[in-house]
Amino acid sequence: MTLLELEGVSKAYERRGFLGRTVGADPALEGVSLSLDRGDALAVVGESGAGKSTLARVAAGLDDPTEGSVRFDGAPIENADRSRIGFVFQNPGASLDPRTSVVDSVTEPLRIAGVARGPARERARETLDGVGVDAAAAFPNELSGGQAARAALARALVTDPDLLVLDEPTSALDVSVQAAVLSLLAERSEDGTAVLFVAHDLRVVRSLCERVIALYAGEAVARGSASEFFDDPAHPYVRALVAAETPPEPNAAGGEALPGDPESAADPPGGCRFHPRCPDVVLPETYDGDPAGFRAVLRFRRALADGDVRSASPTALRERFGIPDLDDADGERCLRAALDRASEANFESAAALLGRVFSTPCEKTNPGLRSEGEQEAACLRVGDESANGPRISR
Amino acid sequence: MSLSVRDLRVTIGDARPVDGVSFDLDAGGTLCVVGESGAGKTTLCEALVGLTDGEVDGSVTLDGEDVLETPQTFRGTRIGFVFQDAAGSLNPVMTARANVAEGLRARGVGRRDARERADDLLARVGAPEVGGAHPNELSGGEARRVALAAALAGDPDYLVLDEPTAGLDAPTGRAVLSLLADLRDAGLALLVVTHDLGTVAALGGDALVLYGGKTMERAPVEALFDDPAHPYTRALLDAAPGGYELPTPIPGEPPSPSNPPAGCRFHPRCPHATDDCRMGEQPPLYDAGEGEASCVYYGPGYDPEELE
Repeated sequence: MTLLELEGVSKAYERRGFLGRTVGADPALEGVSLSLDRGDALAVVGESGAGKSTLARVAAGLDDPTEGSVRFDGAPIENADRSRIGFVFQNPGASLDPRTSVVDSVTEPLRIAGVARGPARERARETLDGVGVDAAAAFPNELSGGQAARAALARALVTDPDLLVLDEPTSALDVSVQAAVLSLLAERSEDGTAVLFVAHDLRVVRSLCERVIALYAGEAVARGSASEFFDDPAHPYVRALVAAETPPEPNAAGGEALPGDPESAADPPGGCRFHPRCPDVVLPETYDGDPAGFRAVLRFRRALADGDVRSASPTALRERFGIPDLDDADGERCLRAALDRASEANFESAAALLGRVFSTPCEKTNPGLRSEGEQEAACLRVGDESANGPRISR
Repeated sequence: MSLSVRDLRVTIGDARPVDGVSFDLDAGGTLCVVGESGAGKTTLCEALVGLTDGEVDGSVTLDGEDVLETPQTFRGTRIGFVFQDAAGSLNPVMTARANVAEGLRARGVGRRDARERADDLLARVGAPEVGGAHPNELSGGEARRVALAAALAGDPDYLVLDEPTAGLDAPTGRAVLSLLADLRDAGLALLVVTHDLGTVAALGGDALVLYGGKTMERAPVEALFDDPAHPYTRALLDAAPGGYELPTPIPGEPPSPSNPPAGCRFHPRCPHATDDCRMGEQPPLYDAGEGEASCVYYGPGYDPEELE
């Protein structure tokens, strides 16, 4: 039975101006759907700024979505019994009140749920014991980083929740404590607790979660079983993420670095949001030059449109964006004209000019999630292969 | 040319977070110092550049010159330093360019030259566009690059980096690592302190495993991963996430720097500990395969095969 269900969830944070007036909204999450059963462990991955923490907060009912619905155990999440949802914040130590002892901090959720003081303290002690914190009377400032992380976890676990939402619970921990926390979570997951695990470190996710969802600039671009996701990812963004991992093995084949900076959900490019950085971007039929050059020009065009370019000589701009001489005659002519305009600080017209030759089907349509095997990917090359050519595997 | 550290000890109050560490780092080489929180990694960095509050003993020499006597004359000139909290190490009221130029100005470079050099340095670390931005406008990766540019301003031969990839997502961390590899190819020697074994594997060179302020093992990185000698190194590798298997935690807690256990500092958590491990001093570094390990099993009267 589905425990947690998010449907088309969007979230925009209000932008505050003078005297706290609302002056606009910054979208952070855009139409994300997911479902989680009891005993499921789902990982949410993506770069910084992809909307992972926002998704975690919305899924746990800490923030209301701007659009879409969040249902917990069949009912809207605002009606849910809070003690059935445990949340661990990115900075685990900060979720403990520095003025109360660790035991009291862990007792608190039970007291709120109406458990009497005696049994509540008893349960808190047991839970702390279970996570390996031997600090009955200690205050948070007396704990090491690893102990504080475990105490924060104990606070989330003490009510025996049906759903655990974890926002980067291990990123501040060193390997040994990380391994201990992962084992604890794996035990809970096996006992039937649903786990939503937000992490930017794919190495941590792999051993715990059976399913993964990848966010890019606030959108879900891929989801699927962990094994397909890591071993044969369909979406180019996921391929790039997996290739960027630094496994603890010497001479591991380091993938090509992902070029460019992540897009923001507040001002995303059209079509597939990943297309300006995509190594597999679909080329227009009119272009018959080197694909790498085309991609470099696309990144340049996006930077121009984004206002991220300072005027410099055409040669310097070429070097800055790694644009080689293009072997497509029309393309090279168009590029030179655009570089001249950019060097005169005429960025908008440079971008418009480039758009005539350097445009891709990927910027025109947002493909939405398409199925392939056990995974779904929002990519034109996935699914209907005849239209845009098969995906290029690693 | 080499940076030579002998029996370095740092005493802060009644604690000794670094307790007798020795190594050599040749020009253009890489040394990765790896260990858990509290192993003394950051204190070691700070001692090398003269930024620790503690009392520093032992010797640190750069081409025969004493570094510990006047660390400030080496810091920022011949030895660059990048803090773990890169964003926090930048002056928040100055632009990135001014942050990089500041060190040059302090060395008597003219205002205009310093600005130009700062822009060149920002371009060198792959962040040419952020010159006019203030630290709060920088992403984690950009802040790291700006701090790196500031550390390079004095044209150092050695660069000390405290957790250069901590807090960065994988693509950004990978980009910072490849930037470091480029700098090394250009002749810079790197001393990288990290708890992330992936970072160690990606950078290569030599590794030093630190535990409770003591050196547990010293070996080339590849040998360390392929054939770890010290039981602590093995435990550390087993605890590193990476595969589909759950990593194995190391039981117990690291020792307190003010009250370390006798004998081998790892013995209370070591599955192979014998009575000899529990007494006396930390064992010396014995030859162990391609490197050295501070473990009695590699000393006289023991057989390292028993560790298998």
